Amino acid sequence: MGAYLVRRVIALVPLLLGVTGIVFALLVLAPGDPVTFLIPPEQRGQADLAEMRHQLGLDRPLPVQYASMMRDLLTGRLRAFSDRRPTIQRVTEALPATLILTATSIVVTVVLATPIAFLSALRPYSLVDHGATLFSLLGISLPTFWFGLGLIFVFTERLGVLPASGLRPAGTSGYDPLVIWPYLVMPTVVQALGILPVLVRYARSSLLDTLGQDYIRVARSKGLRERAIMLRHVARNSLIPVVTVMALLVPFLLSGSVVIETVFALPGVGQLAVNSALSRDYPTVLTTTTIAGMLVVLSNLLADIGYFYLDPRIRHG
Amino acid sequence: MASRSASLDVLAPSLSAPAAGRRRGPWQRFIRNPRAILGAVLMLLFVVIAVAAPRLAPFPPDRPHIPDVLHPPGGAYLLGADHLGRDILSRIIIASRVSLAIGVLSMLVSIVLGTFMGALAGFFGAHLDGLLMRLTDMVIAIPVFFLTVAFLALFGPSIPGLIWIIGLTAWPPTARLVRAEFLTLRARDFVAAALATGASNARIIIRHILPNVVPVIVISATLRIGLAILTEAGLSFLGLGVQPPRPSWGNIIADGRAYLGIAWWVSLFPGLCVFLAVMAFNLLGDGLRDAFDPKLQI
Amino acid sequence: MQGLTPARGRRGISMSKRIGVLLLALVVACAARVPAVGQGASQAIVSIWGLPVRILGSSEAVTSYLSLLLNDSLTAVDGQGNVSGHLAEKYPASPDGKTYVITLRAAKFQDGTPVTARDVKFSYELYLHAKYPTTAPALLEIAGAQEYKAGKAASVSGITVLTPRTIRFILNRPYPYFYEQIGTAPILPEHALLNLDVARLQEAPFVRKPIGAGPYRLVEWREKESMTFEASPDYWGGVPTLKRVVLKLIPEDATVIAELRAGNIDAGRIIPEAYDSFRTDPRVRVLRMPGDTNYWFTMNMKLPFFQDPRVRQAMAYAVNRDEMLRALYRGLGTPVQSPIHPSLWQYDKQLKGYTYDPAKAKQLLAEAGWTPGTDGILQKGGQRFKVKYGFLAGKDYQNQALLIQQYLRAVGIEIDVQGIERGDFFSRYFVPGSPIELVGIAWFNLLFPPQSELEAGFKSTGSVAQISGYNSPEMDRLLDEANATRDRTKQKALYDQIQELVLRDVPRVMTVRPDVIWGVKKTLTLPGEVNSLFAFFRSIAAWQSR
Repeated sequence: MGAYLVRRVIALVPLLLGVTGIVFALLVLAPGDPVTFLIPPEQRGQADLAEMRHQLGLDRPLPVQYASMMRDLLTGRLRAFSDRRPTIQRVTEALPATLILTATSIVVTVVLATPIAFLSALRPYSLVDHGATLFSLLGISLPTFWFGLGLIFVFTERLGVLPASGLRPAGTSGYDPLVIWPYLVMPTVVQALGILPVLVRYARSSLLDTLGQDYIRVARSKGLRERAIMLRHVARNSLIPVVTVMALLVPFLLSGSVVIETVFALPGVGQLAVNSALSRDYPTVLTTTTIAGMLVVLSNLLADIGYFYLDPRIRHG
Repeated sequence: MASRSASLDVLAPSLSAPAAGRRRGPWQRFIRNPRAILGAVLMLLFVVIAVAAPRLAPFPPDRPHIPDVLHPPGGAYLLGADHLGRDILSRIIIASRVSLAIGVLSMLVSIVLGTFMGALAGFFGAHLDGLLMRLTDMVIAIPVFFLTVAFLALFGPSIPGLIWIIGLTAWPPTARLVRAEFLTLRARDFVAAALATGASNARIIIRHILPNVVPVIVISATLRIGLAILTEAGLSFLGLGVQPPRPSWGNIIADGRAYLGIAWWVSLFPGLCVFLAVMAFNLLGDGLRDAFDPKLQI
Repeated sequence: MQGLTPARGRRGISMSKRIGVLLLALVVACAARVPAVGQGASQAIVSIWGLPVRILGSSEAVTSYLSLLLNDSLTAVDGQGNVSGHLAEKYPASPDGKTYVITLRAAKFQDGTPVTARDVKFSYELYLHAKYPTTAPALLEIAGAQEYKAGKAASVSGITVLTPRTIRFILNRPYPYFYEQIGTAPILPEHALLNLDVARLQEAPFVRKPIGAGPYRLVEWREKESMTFEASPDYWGGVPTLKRVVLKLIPEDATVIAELRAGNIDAGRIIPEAYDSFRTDPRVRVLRMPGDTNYWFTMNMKLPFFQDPRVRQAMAYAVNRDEMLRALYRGLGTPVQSPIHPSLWQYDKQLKGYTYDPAKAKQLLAEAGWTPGTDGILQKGGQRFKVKYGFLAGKDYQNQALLIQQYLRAVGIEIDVQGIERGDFFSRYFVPGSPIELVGIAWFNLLFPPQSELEAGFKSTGSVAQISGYNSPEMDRLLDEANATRDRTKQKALYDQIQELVLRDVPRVMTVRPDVIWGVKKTLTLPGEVNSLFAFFRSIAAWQSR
């Protein structure tokens, strides 16, 4: 297990190099001058663009820029073009909001998906199954921002029961669950419904698989109570695909966060990525995509670890 | 079994039948699935609308008509008019062309690339497999939207750009599927037989294995189209999708998003349209998958 | 097996029943109203469309509004452009207009330290530093400033500290706008910016935890989320009545509307389409003011199409400004006939601009030698009047472009409209020498006196004039004279002439200035007349929240 982990971590290095390489290639090839985004048009005649460019290091040859950006990125000294703060700091400030939303969405999805998958697996091809599938398809057939804005319209504008912006009351600090949960409701619903069908399908087919397995029949024939069977064997073995699917879902959730964070004014990594791309803040773009990449890889790793522990066949195989 | 040519082996051994209806062929299972039929019918409907669009639209989609700004549904405007007095119905109809085109073309890009990569990785295995899977991992690692937004923001939004970038970020799942299929099929007897008779690698891949993988590719393709349409909508929301005044479903929704309480029809109808179209492709893909093997992890 | 199936079913139902109860509980809990934040304790939550990226060395509009809260300056202009002394108690000018001796009042920075003449000199030398990227040109009117900026002098010779409370400014010439353009620079505390490396200004801790002499202290800055300000007890003008202001970033218009209605924010800018519904809202009232942005399109005057002023005037007549306002802004706005903000004294209220007169437009075009072809499009000497209209990508520009396309087509001019993405627009398209034809854009009027904007737009050396190729010796002369006289009556007369010349020469066709509309909770009282964004932010200190 230890050796396995070490191997996986080592494999991270070329992966990250590749990711940063792809992003840097984009930045290098992109037309347009980042400095123009720091000055509004009316002030263009007055601002010293050459000086600004120099202060951002944009007047150096490209290979030098790449090398120094990479070095700064790895040492955490890379500074954004926009506010000259270390990009790593900007990203770590934005991470909590995104992570809270992502984690909550995963939990809610699992909570919703389990009964749906059970119902579908126990009565395959029945009306219940069809209904459940249609319901779960809802989430991946709706444009997320449309759905989110619709929810805001109903629950904030018309009913006034949920807040539509931010992750906490304005001007407060910390993320106290008791205080912030109303802010999480709508964004979580949108995110969760987006990944629900994938989880339902995996859980359902895995349940179908498990329910037909030999050892279940053996357990039944031994006279074990239904509940015990369900809990001990079926649920546990069905968790494996659920865990593996989690890893697949994290990039999807991060992708979705871009739009959700704009709609609900959440100060997360998604909107940081978008805004930095739109304003040509190359260092921030590089850092957000790299860190997002690391999050994805990390969740893959966690899924593998969970898989390892949950499936005795692997552990002792 | 070795004497049978692989082209008859269309229902490849890797695709097993579900518990119910084990004896029926996939086509029969498909037809008996009401969801799949619904998906197919809706999809055909959209294709017809897109093809016949200019003749179906009652109004020109891009002429402002000031007296009817934000006209509610009714009168001459079946679905209402937008903030420039343009008929929503006409715009939605015309927009179907570009939205579906982006969906289909980007799907083609991702399918072709994914199949190519997956086939090579699965067939040749060893180092090539390792290399290609590393590449796949890299592309998967970056959340699709991050990369797409970065690309479009940096290079400027354009329709070809949209097609390429959506396609280029969507190929890994297909590659993995195809690779898995190839790995399984490559070990089969009929491949060994073909190799023994001196067939070239290319011939084996294209004539013998690929036809068996087609169902998986088709299922993946239908699901990709839906995702591409949704991606374009999301990009339009950020201002990076199809650029106005050219209508796409995404940018019509984006146009009306501030008026939800005031002129709900501007965003609602194109939103419903996207919903139905994506739903159609998802139902179709679902139905195809259930018809071949409900346990497929696509 | 059969006997076990109901058990399985029971198991399935009870599991989902549990989930159902949980969900129901969640919904019920949600139905409890979210406590409306912002009431009581004299605070206001104001939603803002963008937070500043840099608060020093920046030219963003948001930064300048926030500076009104954080900082103070020697003199200040009000909403009409009238001058008063803030940190400067006495600020007489010498008879020759080149020397100003400022006596500071007893004011304090937000950390309790007094504002001294050394802080004043320090601040100006920062803004004039060679490495400070956004030096306002007006500051270069100070004697010795050019040399200092060029790095040839160790300090600015024209700024002399006389006593800890008095400071003297000497100018190169009798520059007429000392109070409006030079005296309005924010004064920063020298002791908080010791050993500053100006080339790396943004890395100084001060930039994230600024100390100013203004009515509000910045107590918290959460990037892309909010900025919280608290009333400064040391403010010379008296402690603000509104004790706490939170500027909350909400980028989506629909979200702002929803939050206003739910009572979760106290003020927020709303789209014109929401105006009517908020007029009848029991808890929110609407506040309308002329916006800062005026929209226009300019043309490449080197092209044969646009060399004849009659053609340009015809385009100005062809645009139906009232209809544009009605269609795009619900009628909330004003047609633009002058590049100067209507709340300023320089604005010529008597100006008679271009009415909507397509017949006159056609007549002018005919006089210029254009005759309608068979398809209705004008032509002259075998050439069709068809040009490209590029606009800065964005919803407003795009909508206007489509309307302008219609208006011009109605008088026989065909244009191809094309949105150009921002990066491209400013680096390649909207630059001198670029082969533009027609360009649609807008400008912010920051409420300095209009001189610098007028020069940028219409002086032959100005940045925009160079792009359009506008070159009028008469305009240059008028602008130079306006920049040289300190006599207000003479200035007014000159500005009137300038505005009139802009209308006659049509270096740009000005279209509309949409209003800015705020939704404000009725429990929040704003003082007096607020007729611009500038005045809005300045008034915050006097807001009262019940």
